Amino acid sequence: MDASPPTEPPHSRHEEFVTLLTASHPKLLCYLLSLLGRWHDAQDVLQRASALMWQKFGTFQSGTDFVAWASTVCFYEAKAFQRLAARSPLHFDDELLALLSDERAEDLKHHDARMTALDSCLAKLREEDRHLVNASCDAHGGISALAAQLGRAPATLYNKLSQLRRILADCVTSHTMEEAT
Amino acid sequence: MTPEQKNRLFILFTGHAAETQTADEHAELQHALRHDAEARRLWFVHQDVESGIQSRSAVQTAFVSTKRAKVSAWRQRRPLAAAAAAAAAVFLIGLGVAFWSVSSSGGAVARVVAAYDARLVGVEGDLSAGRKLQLKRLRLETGRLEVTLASGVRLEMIAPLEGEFSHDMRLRLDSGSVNADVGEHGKGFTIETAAGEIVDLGTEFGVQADRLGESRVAVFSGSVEVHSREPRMGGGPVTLTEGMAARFSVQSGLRSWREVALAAREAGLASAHYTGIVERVRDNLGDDELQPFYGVVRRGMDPGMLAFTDKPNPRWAPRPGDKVPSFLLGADLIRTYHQFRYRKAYELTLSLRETAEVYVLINAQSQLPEWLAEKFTNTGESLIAGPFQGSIADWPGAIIGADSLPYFEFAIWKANAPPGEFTLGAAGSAENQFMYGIAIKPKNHSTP
Repeated sequence: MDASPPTEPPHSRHEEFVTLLTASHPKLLCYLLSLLGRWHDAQDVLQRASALMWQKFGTFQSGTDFVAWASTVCFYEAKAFQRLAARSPLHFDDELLALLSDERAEDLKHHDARMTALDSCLAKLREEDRHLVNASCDAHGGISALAAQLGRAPATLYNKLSQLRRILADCVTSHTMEEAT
Repeated sequence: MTPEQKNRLFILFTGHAAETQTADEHAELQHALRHDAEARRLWFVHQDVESGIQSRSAVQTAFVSTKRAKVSAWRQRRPLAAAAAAAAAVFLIGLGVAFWSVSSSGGAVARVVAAYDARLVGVEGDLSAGRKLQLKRLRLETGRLEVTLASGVRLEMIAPLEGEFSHDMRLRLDSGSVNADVGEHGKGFTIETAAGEIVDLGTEFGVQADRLGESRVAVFSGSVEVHSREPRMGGGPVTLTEGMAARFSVQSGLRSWREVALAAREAGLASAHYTGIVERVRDNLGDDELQPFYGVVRRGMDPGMLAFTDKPNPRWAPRPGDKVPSFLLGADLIRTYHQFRYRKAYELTLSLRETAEVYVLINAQSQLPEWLAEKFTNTGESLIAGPFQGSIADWPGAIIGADSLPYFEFAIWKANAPPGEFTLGAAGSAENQFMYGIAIKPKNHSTP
């Protein structure tokens, strides 16, 4: 990206853009999570991609699929992020990124149903497990710090959180398949 | 897929998210995702669940505490609705929509985060952390002052600096250097200089201005719009993104500027240009699209200075009970990128104006890279850097501070470098890897 002046869309379209971006934000975040695998990375890339989407919004045709259009921008921002800014060198190669991107674009249609199912699946967890899942999101210091706080071995906590996420994934899948039938 | 295989997959998913995977585990995950459609479906379900949990957790905690001790606001979790609204708000800024209320009395309300030998004209008493200041006309005579505004914007101001706050979202910078970390609620924060305006579109940037109408902008992360007053620019703002720097003035318009001199000037010096020993800093990672830049702080090697360009928290400090080695005090500091610590083919080239003593600060637990052992000698002294994120508190050598966060010791290695180019290499290949820091002094000014 160079310092040349961007082609700015007309002011009359900014409300349209804001509406579309607001509605699509959760799906775009999930799309990026599928490519990057890390919540904070996905947030950072979406922030950058959002600025770029606005610059390029003049090329978006009203009435067409905004998520599909926006995910293309997100895809290239995710690749740029991995190339230059990723904290970890362990990221997916270009071939796998392309495969995940293609399939995820189709898979996103299940997103809303999964989110609805997640509420009831979280409610089914034991209260202590639900608190643990929430605590793992709040923990600034990561799993190690949370383990220290709870007086548990990091490896034990790590396995427990993996198990809880698998339980939730199974529950969400079960709910969405039941609704589909 | 068997239950055991599924369990294994979720362990790999969790490890990837927590950045605790080994290279072998990562390869195993990649293989599974590439060759197994069911693994990919589970990956997507897992990410949806993760996203849903994170969003729900953020809604619960967002209004418990609006200001956290960590100032890296760009990492804050966002409520689901607020995240979408915030993303949308970014684009309203560029259209000139006033999104935040303006203080009716003018000026800005600020809280001190940290002060290092700071003298603020018109403000009596200690500039201790947490002190509330009403700032309108601003003159920082000495030192550095970090404040957080009511808008959530965090500013690092380096003396000598003069300017004026219109309100929480607008600062006119007449002269001096400012770094801004804008965060979630401060998008649209504007710094006005004689040469034009810099409007933030997200996160972290720095501005240096002088009274001759020259301004310099560097974007650490996110992006900013630069509106130059120079009529020959042809109108329209220019967007700078992460890693870019630009120089613009009333006379000469906008042009790229690869090095940003975050000058810590001595009182009385009026020069707007960095004239220190380092003429240029460049690495071999940039390309035509993005060019990382390196902040050079003149005489910046002091306790409390930020160690890395891309990490808002780790700062250099003496070991507990010790002092900064005298030979290091007043050295020019180069802020490296911690994110490049794993780049095996990384090269950083310094262009030096004169013979210099180059100091590399390298994590004491690290396996020494060959280039360091060949060119440098160990001074036997060290500093510590921190705090780092809590998730690495169990790494070898971690010193847990009073804030319960880890700090790490960095050994100081020294080399004599002739004028011209001097190249440093990759940080190393350890599993628990840190980037090194750099300090430089002219050889004839060094303390034996």
